[in-house]
Amino acid sequence: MIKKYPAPHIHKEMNISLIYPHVLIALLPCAVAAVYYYGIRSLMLLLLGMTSFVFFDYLFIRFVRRQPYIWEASGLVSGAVFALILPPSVPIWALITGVFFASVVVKQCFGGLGCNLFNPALAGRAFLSISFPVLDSAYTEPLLSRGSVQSLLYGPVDAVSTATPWVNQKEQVFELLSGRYAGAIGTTCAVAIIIGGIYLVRLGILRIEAPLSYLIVLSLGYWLGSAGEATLFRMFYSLFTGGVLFAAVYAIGDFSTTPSTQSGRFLFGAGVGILTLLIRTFGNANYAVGFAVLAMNAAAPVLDLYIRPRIYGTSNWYSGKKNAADIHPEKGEKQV
Amino acid sequence: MKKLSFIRGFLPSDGLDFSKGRALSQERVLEQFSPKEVLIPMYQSIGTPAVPIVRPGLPVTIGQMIGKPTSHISAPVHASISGVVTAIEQIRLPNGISCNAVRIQNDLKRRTHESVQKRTSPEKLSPKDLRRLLLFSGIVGMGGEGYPAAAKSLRASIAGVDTLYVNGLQSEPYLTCDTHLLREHADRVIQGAVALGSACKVQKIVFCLQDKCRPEIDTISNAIERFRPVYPDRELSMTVFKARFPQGYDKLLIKAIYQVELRAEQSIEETVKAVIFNVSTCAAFWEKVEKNLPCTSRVITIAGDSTAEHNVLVPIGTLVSDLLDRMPGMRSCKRIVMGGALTGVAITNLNTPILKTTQGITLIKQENPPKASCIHCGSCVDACPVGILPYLCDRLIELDDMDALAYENIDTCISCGACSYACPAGIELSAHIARAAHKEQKERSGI
Amino acid sequence: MTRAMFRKMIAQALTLLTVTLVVLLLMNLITNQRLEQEKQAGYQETLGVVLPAENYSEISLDLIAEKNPAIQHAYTAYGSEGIILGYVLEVKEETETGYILTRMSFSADGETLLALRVLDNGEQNNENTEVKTKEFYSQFENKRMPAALLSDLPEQDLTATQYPAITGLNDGVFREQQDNEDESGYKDYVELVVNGGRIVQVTWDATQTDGGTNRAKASVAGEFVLDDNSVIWAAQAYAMENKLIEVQDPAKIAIKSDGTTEVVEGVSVSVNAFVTLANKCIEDSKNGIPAVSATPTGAPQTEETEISQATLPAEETTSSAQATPAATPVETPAATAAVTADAADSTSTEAAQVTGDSYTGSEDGIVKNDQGSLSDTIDGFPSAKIKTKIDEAEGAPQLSRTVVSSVNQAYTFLLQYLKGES
Repeated sequence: MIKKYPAPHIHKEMNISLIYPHVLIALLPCAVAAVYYYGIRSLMLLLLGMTSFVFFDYLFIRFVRRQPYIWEASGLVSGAVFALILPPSVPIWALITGVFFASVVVKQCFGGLGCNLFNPALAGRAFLSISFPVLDSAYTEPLLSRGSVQSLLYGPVDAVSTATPWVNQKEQVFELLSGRYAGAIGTTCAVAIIIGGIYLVRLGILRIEAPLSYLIVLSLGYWLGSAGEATLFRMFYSLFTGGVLFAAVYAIGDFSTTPSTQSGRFLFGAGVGILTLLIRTFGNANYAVGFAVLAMNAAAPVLDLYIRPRIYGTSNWYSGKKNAADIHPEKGEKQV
Repeated sequence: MKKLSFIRGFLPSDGLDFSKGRALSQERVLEQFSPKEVLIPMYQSIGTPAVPIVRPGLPVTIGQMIGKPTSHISAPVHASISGVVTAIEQIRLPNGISCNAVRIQNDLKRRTHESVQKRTSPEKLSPKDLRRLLLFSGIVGMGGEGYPAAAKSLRASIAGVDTLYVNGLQSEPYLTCDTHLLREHADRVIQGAVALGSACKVQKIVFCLQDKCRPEIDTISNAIERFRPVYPDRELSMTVFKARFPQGYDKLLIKAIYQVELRAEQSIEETVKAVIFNVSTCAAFWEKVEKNLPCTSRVITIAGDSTAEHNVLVPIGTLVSDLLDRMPGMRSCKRIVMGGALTGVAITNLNTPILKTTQGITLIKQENPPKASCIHCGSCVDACPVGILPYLCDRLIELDDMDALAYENIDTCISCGACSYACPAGIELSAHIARAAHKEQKERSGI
Repeated sequence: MTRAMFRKMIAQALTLLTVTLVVLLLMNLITNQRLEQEKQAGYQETLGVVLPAENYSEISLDLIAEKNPAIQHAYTAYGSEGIILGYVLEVKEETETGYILTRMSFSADGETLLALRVLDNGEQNNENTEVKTKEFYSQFENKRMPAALLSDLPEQDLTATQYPAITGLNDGVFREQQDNEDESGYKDYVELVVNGGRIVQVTWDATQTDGGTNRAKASVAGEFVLDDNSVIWAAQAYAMENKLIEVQDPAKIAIKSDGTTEVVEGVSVSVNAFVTLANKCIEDSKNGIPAVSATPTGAPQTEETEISQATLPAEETTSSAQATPAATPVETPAATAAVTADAADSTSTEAAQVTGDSYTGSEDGIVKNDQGSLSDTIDGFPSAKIKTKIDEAEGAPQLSRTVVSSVNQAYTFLLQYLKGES
């Protein structure tokens, strides 16, 4: 006989088993740009990052938690994001260490899929940035020695090392958009990120409140902050370099590390923007975006606690607290 | 025309929109179904059930009263076909209520009761007469609410309402019974609405429609124009709403129109001086006013997520099993739902009768989504029309923390099912919350 | 995930992939174009001074960089429709106090220098101003190559007096040997190489009938000694050969009755055999009877090789010339013979180091070239070939010489490049 099911009886087509493959598809343009500019080394980094992330996930779930492992794509997504924010000459042992930290420590130890407090890919990158700061200067010019097999193991050959990827101002906005400058392998091409972002917004996977407020705050900050000439170029420069757009689409639009309410997401994005501005101006400009996102990830549960939608019938816009006396008039005042 | 909505946001993630995707079929002719037998339950409304006044073996005709009301908030039940009463049995309805039901065998003669005659001058009826007619017509809120229309109109007239809203928003997907009525029988609807308005002593009548139902909007506009000179002292108008689920809920309707949010204990009539009736209710009342025919049949939609919808005029009490061959794709569907896809009840026993409040039968072919654990995405929060946090409530239900749940205003939940629909992890949020709210209410009333 | 959904996702993925690839390629194309334009604009500014053209392309120096390390950059200049207007070269030459960077442009065939500029090199401040003046570098404009400073050219004007060749000579290698051996057991032979109607190479040697080494080699080794041991036989033969190349007609070499001659310095042996055989070779040439083996064989070459090896460290033609004032690239004929004599002495100890038979470069200013003239070289070009004479800049003779040397080196490189191209 037909089983008895509770309402509702239809469901949105998008579910977890579809969301992460779609995000992977949205990451494809960035991967294409990475391989185009940095050759097979970036392809190797990408694949290695993805597979090692899933591998560490599997090891933890299977042998530490002793649960059957359900094959899913969220590990691939986090691994790909982690690989794409690395510089092209990162050594392989650094990649593996970062993936281990991201997968086991940041994601699985905090509860696994959906329960992690911090974004695993960005946290792994931050770990590398703090523990091995020399890696932050390992950026190389693109379009050099893309096909050399030697670069698979040892890093790009005949590479010109640049300290920070966004010091060189002689590129024009066109090059900033197409990604033809030294930076992390997947975050340089703004066009690719925008394509992926539009794809995710159309599908409803990326909620645009947080990225929008992030970008607006950043733009305003740079527009107002740099007094003098070339403010527009300076603004684009700061927006398109340093992984800002990449973080806006793939880190600030993440599910479990961002607040659950719309207003909360707005504030989250604005907070990341303000922190990025501060860190870039007064602190270590190398990985400002990542640390800003991580700081706001820690603040997301607090935002969830206090930023709530207004409940139908109540008048508080910030929290739907009801007077306890309404709930249990016989019990009287209740300390909540 | 300005579009109203209960949602005040501007971002596309606000609320659920079911109007996208499928184009609704535009059937012109309504099929009239004649079953072999009907099983008419006595408890088809809110309030107290009716008591049967027939016994097995008695021949009955269409429109004959077979169950009389037992209180103020109770509706009489009439025979919907002509034939012989075969049994009076105890049945269990899909919503869990057990009651008596009268089984009538159809003799296919379609004999109507002698009281069913065309009225000579319906416009001469006073509001009291109309309310009396309402009482004896057995009309209940046919949009699913089930509140006896007579009691509602009495309450409305006592409260002194000034506007009557005809609820033509079918925000649940796949159901088109009201839109069919609006399109094909707009006259009946308008006249019924005017009559109901007289019963409630209101002058202003507003028709509420969805913005995606363009043919219906046009038809109603034309019909209003036609009927304006007929009822010069009434004010007939139309309001268009944004197509969002669940706009059709009365509380959300009032919120969209008046920007007033009612608490549970407040009533619409008293607070905003408005009364809401469903389109089918208006059409049914016009039948009573015009022909003295009580509520004996209604339009239902047979549709599904993989079938085209099909509107059928069925007598009340038709069994679902009799409608089987009217349901394309019945063999391959996973569940049969009485009512809408989001708020209906999945039936296991096909010998379930169609009630006065049933809007349709939905055949679901879609698989259940794979269940996972909550990923804290917040989709449920975006979908919830009343602003509770379903994911948090679900977590508290797991922890069985009743006080925290009360703190989270779980009793505000209107059980629309939007949160479960939106959850990517496939968690049955709506069911859990409904169960917990029920439990909390029992606890509260039990103390 | 149903199969239909999976297929849809694959389709979407492929769409995104192609869209991104197309966009990336387009954008990079535009960027490359822009970079190219900027590069050309930069070239126009710098290279356009010496050779205005539509666009320029850089010549890869990888293959020839070792032989021409002075050449820093080389560009091909194109006019409209891609015709080659010429070449622009940048040469860096070391001086005592630093280096000089010169940029010059040549015509498409490489024979004419179109324009020249001496660039700032940033190290020295004002020392090179003399060569940067317009009156200095305007001397170079549209001049045929190679060039030399007036002060460097030898006094004897070889371009004026050049002995005419005997008429009716056919090209080829001609060899005549004595029928009988002389008292020492040597049979003399003379080999003439005629090219372009002129005698360009002469070899006078004698083979030993009992299979020993040739006389030239023996004389170097000390086996064959003359009565007057001041000059070995090989050197004297060498002098005779060169004289014949110079005068082209054995009749012009005055022979005394005892067979010696006073016309050629240092030659005291009897040259009758030489003259007779040379005349016979000339007859052969007129009649067109070539020798059997074309390559010259025997010790005389190796002796000259040794001599050349000994004096090689002093000079090289095509590699970077250290234009040190001490060892001037120009040597007078007097110095030539003296050097030869010195070389002969020094090579006696090196007799054991006989290597290959071929000539290696030039030695003591004498080069076996096609023209065969007894010439001196400037930067590897014989004086006879110098087409342009440059006045040195006021008060900077060394710098001027350096500039001229740069020009000649660029010309050499260009000739090689063009030869390699075709």
